[in-house]
Amino acid sequence: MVTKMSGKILRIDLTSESSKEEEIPEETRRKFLGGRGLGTKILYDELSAGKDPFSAENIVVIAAGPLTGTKTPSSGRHVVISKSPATGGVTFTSSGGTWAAELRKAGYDAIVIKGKAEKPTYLWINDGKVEFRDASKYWGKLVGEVDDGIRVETDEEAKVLQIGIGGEKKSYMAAVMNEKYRAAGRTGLGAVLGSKNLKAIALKGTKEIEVANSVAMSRAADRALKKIAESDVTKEGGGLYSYGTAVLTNIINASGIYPTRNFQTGVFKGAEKISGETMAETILEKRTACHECPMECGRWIKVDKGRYKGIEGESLEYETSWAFGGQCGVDDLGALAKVNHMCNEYGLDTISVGNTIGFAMELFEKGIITKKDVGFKLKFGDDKAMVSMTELIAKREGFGDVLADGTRKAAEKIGKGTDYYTMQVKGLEFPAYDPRGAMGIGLNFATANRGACHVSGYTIAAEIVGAPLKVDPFDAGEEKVDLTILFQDFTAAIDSAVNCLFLSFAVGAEEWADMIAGAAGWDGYGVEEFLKTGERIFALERMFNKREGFGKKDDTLPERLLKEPMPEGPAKGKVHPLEDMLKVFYEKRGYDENGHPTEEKLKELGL
Amino acid sequence: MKVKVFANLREIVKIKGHEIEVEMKQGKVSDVLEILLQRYGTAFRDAIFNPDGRLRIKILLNGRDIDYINGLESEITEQDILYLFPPVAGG
Repeated sequence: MVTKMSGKILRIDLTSESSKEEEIPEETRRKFLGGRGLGTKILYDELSAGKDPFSAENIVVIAAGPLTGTKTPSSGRHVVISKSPATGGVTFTSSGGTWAAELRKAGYDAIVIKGKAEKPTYLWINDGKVEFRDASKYWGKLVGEVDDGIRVETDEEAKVLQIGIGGEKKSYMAAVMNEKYRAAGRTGLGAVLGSKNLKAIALKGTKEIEVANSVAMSRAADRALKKIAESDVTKEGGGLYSYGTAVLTNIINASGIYPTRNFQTGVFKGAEKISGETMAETILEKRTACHECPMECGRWIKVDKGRYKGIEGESLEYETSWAFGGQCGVDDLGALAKVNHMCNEYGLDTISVGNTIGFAMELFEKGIITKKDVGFKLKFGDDKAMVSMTELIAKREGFGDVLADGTRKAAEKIGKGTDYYTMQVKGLEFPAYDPRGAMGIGLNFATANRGACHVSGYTIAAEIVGAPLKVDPFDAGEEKVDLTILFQDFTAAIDSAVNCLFLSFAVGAEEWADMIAGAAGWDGYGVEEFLKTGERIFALERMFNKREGFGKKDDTLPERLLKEPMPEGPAKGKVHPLEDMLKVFYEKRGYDENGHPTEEKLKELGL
Repeated sequence: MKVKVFANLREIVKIKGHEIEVEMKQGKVSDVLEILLQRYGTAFRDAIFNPDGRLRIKILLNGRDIDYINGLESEITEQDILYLFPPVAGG
């Protein structure tokens, strides 16, 4: 059955400056949806093993999904999929805003990019018409300036996705930015676009996004909206709406898993000063939202006093405020706003940059690196040093060049056993949760296919937040493994639908499956098939990584979290029991002892 | 003992520093809540209990969810800290 759900794939060859349109086969749509699933399928089929992520052969897929841009809630996200320079495996990284909705209005579900442009180039895609334009004058410029400039050259209403200087300099921490303040930040895909000399993609679309059964889709969307409106977490005036994602700061800190000074402890004395509540009392100007999102979790902030007076923009998500806050020991919201602004303007992943500076601060504290190496004192809590180091990383100058590719690469360069202090998995730096006090998220960090990624299986929702269900964070038994697998599969399906993961604090798989069934016009599509899609995508990512040499050795956690007991707080004395959980995880997933899907499992998943 | 409140509970209790002192040498979590209910009234009651009497907030005793200690019957002493979190999320 041919459905109306999909537009087309736009294939771009930068080497020959050519483009063509392609229909997505119906079987691929139903088995992989769109977004992360579609991108992984394309990478698996078309990129053979062992290719350098920065080679012209590497592929970048930027994809929406069947629900993107529709009237379903929180449907403004796109997903970028490629082979990551940070991990060496397949990765996905997503961002909100409205760019993805514009992509579908321009007639496409995905853009597949190959090759390498001769000179800096940007794409101008206007309702199906594709132009390759010279971007030389934008090379080396800040993100805000480039966004403004390209819109003047194309259309004031165009939506611009771009890389910053971080991507141009091929930092493994380079983000893919959109609409100035939004970032597909993780795993360095800005650098892959940089290696292809692709500076930006500007979009304009006026087409209607067609769905097969708008009545059925709207009915399911209304059920989802009702749940969002009734949930104390997601409703208007609720925690997320009123205080933004940084409302997590206090509860994570009180739970003793707020990583502090490079995971030396899980309790940060300055947490209250950088919390969502303090933001709301001090620097918050207004809330912001993505396409069709009632949760409005974005924050527009303005710093009106102190050393960082004048900083203004969409800023300071929880993970960012942690990365430069607890991780670097800084409790000045103005300083955090400053480095967030810098990362936006340079196109860098705030989580990895903050994590990496915290890593370097611990090396400095321990005397492994000195003022002679760095050029200045790099002490925990020193906001000026943090700002200076962020600048050096962005420009790859001085010691910033050592840190510009994240902790794993930095430890290789520095030597002296510094890999022990790298808080990363598979080359991706940790976000804001210490697994020693939340065993499910630890298992997820170890097994997530793109590395230490919280949004691959956000068990914190159940372990700490208690939404939509509550479990004991210290439990490490079979039920916790089941929960982690469920979160990973559910998330992979959501990332392929594509809506915002935050909906899942209130909305269940039933509503999602029904929204997709309506949009696609699929008979008999339900929760089981939706979750099976997620399981299939997770397994296909594993198979891609297996081809690249990944195995059980990569499903691990930093030694610190496995051996050093948490020194204080409610998780005092605990380490993460990964080995026991991993064995159960592989068994339950139908993977062999090296963490690869068995033949039977692949057959069951239709792979 | 100390009670720390967060998010929209702060708008109800309006205490500077967001920390409430409760005179109690020994007792249960439910005893502390009873004192707070008397002190802060209906708005506070509505914020922490659903109409059916179930808790709508998350209560941590020294950082540990009371559901994994002994619920509202969990024992407390004067050195303890009780954290009251309305439903929050992010990530």
